[in-house]
Amino acid sequence: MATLLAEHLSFRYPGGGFGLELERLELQSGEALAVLGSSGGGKTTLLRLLTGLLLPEAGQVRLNGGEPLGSLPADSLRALRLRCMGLVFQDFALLDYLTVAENLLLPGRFLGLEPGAAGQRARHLAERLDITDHWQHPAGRLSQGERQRVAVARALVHEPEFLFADEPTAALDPDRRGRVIDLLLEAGSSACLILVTHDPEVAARCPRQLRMEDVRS
Amino acid sequence: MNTPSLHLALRYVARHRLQTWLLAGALALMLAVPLSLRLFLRAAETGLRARAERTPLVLGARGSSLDLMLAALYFKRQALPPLGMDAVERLRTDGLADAIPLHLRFHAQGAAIVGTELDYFGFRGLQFIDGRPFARLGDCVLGAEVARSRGLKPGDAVFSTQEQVFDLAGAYPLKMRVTGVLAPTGTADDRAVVVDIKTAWLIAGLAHGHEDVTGNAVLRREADTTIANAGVRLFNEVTADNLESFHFHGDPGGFPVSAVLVQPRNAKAEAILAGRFLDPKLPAQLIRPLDEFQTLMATLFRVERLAFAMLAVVAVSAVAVAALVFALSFRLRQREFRTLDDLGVARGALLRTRLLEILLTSALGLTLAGLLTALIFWRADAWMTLLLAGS
Repeated sequence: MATLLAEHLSFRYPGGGFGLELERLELQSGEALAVLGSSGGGKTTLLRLLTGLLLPEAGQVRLNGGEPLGSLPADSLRALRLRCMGLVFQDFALLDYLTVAENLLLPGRFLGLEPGAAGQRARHLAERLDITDHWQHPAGRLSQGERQRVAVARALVHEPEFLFADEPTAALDPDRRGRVIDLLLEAGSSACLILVTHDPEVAARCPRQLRMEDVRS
Repeated sequence: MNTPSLHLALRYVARHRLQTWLLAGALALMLAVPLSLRLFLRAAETGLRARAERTPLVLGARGSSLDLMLAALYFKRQALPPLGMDAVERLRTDGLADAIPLHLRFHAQGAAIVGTELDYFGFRGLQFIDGRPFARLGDCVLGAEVARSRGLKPGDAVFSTQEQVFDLAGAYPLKMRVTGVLAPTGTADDRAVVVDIKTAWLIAGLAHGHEDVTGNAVLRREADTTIANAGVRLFNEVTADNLESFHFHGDPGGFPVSAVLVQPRNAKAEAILAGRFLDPKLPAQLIRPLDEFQTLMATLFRVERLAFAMLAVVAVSAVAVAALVFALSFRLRQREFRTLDDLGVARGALLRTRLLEILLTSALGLTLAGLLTALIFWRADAWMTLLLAGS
């Protein structure tokens, strides 16, 4: 069972501007947490702290009871992210010169996953997210909504234990927004899901919610 | 080899074809130009030296010895001051050397018309792949390249090129009968139209054939000469029917010869001949083609060294520009590499991806350079011959 534990987190950007303090956050497999707040409220910063992309000034984040992320060597932290985490970035972060298929299979390639199985899962996710028509199209030619769905699918292909999604529905129409949330919650049934959103409807689908107003300092 | 890195590098290179080809092309030129220049000169030297070595001496009118060598051996389009045919006869009479005259003034369909004698074929070791040597006035034998490029064969006809279009009183182009095609030799002979020297003189207007001059056509009769009016039709083709009407005017000893290929009987004869033409006041000069060739190559190699020095500067600049292009490209793609970094791809794999992109582009450049160099090496002889033959 996957667990995420963050304790006594404290972070402030250089210059003494925006900062956040999080006393304790614990999440287990099957739990979904929505992080709510207005734009610029620090949601993304919190997500980056939880994934080890930012290191806190104080406090620690542990995955599965292991070493705090901040004390792991950089290579180990990267390997941990690649193996255990699924990340949906706010700007999608696709490689435009790769096709949709290649983007979906990218983490799996670096993980050394068996191409057949990963390919099947990628296909299945593409069907669920209605992007199979673009399977062989370069990501650079897709619309914003399509790119967002590809980004969501890429985060799920290697079946990570921890799912971090930053505004995964911001560019989607209501129908597709629902499908993406369904898929994320489905994947989150066997993983820890943390979903950043400013959309109350999306946040309402998650059993747990965290408001940034409560963690800003 | 890290397969995902290779995959990414391949995809990037394939997706950005224009950038890749431009970089690879620049790299290819940077490598191929100096390499090709060297190979070109070496290969050309080998091929051309052989012809110079097989031509012991060349006699010609005094002037540029280099021009004489280039014209006599490689049929360079160069107006040489003529010698008289009697110079050839004198060489023969002396018994010191065999002499083969060359008349090199005219062209046919862009190929040099080489007026000579049948001995020329034996001297150059030329074989026929089709037909036979010229047998009468107006016949010609084609070099292999001339026949191939123009699609000509024995039985076809070739017109000499009129020298001066506006000279209405000049000689008309001669329609020559092709009697044979030479086997390819990789030398200037491949690009020549070989005729009997009398045919060359016929093209020059020193001989002609015409209808019988009778009746009103006769303007005046003087000793053995008949002056006719312009109504008499001149023949521009030699046929079995009109062959007898062709005749020369003037002293054959004074007919022009561009150069004479001289084969001394022995070393002593060679020394005597060399001594005979030492006086710079003489109207003729005797040159040793190999010496001229070596002088030419020495000049070319000096030019080559200068070119290398300049190319080295260009190469350094090209490498610097290529490095800058890669650096800027990687900088522009920082977000992409940060994405891979954020996803958890190891730094080593990211570095390998960049290196592989550089390697793939360089490999493409090397391949292009190799192909270009091979092409130049393959055609070096022919291109050098063309270069030397150009006016």
